[in-house]
Amino acid sequence: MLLSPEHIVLVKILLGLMLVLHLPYLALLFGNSLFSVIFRLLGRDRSDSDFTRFSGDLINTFASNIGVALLMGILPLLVIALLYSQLLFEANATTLIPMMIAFLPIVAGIILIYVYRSLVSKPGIVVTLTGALGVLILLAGYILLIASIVRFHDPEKWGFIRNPAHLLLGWNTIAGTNTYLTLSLATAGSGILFFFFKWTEKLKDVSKTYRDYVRNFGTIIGLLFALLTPVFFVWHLITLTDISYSMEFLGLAILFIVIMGMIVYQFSRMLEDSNAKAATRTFILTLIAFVVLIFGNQMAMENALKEHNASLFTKSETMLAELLPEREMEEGGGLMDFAKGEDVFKSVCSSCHRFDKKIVGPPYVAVLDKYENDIESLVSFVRNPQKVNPEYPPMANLGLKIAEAEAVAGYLIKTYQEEYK
Amino acid sequence: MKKLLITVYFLIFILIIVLLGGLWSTYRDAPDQPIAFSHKKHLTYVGLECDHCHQYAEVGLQPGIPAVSVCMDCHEAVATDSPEIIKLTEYWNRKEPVPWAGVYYLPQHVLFTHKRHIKKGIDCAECHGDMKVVEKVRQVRSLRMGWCVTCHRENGASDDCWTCHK
Repeated sequence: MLLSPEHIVLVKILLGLMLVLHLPYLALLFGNSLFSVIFRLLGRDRSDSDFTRFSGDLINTFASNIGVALLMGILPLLVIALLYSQLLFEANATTLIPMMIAFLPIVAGIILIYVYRSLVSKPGIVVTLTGALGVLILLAGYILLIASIVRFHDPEKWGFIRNPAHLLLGWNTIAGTNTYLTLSLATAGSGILFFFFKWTEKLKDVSKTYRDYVRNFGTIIGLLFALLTPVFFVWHLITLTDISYSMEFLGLAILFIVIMGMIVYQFSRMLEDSNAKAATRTFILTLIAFVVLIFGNQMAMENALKEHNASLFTKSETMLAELLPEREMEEGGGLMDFAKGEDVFKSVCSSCHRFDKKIVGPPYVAVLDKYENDIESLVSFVRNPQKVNPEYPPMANLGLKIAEAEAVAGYLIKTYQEEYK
Repeated sequence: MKKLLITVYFLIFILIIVLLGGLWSTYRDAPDQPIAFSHKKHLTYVGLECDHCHQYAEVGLQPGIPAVSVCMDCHEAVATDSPEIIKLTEYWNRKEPVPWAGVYYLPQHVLFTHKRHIKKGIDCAECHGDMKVVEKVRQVRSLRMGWCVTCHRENGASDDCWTCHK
């Protein structure tokens, strides 16, 4: 696989976009499905209770369209796995496997939640269990996905991950995963306020009690989890490996805390006076917090994998160098192009070699004898040098094109025979 | 009052991040070296092996930093007009060692021998990363005890305290 620097940049941009599309969607779906199931359980003995109604409203608002689930929940996940595989090509990143495994529970969880949504108007424990199972499976997949993304920051630990459970055995992963989970629930809270107040007119035909209840629930849940998020975030930073850090990364971390502060302030104001405008502001702020968190994660991974990125570039350079001479096979002047051979000798070989004198490498008179009747071996050696004599350092791979190697081999043998033999 | 409480709460987190930044700066991400030596060039393009320069890695505690004379074996003739090689030659002419900045440090209460790890077949890259692609060297492993012990257990090496703390 040939990854040019431009290709890698493109992959990173695309990956960032996919994560920004996918993770907030999962956050809203997971958080509000969870609340829906909880309220359905709370209102199970009272069919006309506000709890049951709220449960139905939640799931119908946040799991409304199967097309959205496909576009934002399932397809990006496939693209994310593919892009990470490209970025971590040959990195022996064992965390890629749990990420691939996460696809199954996330898809299964989304399907079950949509089944639950289609049955939510019907009573019965089976419907509740379907929803609960969907939420739990989705949560398992979400944790696996986030833990894998967080673990990409720490190549030191990759070698020790033998199964997906190992992924979670580390304070840094626990703190990082909880940062996403708490931010997800804060986003779900702000989502409740935004969707109920801004986008739908559903609350007009209901009592003030219900309206206040929805408002208070969204606000308190949002406030609580927005207050918790920085605790896990800073814990994640404290346990983060040194190589993931950079000054820019720390700047982004401070920006994240400032945004979380703004979110908490908005929520606290809405405890007293909630309106559609404030709800929109808070929802947008939580989405921005998500973007900053994702961008920070990508930056930490970029810092941690500097050597791996360099390795991809080097492989790309090597493969290009190997491909080019093959294309140039037909152009070469070959063994008889002495003028070209002399040029190559003067510009490249003479740094280390003379015919009759030791400099860095041996004098030609001591080594050319064996190639006199086997010039192809000399061409092959020049293109792919191996250490022969322990008294000398190994010869560098000079990256000569095949025509250049042939020309210099011809020149060396001819000059040796005519002037030094 | 509420605004003040929120501000104080979040300022605490910002303060912790600033402190973390201060601690991190002591880690020295890829220190500047007196000569911009490229491991990539020497390992990938020239084809040298690690022990060509770090001659004591297989036989001692420390891998050894090469003497200027080792560099001059080749650079007396190779790339003599490069600015970095001119700097190297100046050290050579003044008979001074190059004051390379250290990258990996272990506390004094830890006894680590390169020899034992190489004999066991641990590749240099396990701890130092793939040096064949590195231009500027930085510490790529935490060197924390948890990392050492986990690796010891994975490879069936002793995790007795006395193994490393003598």
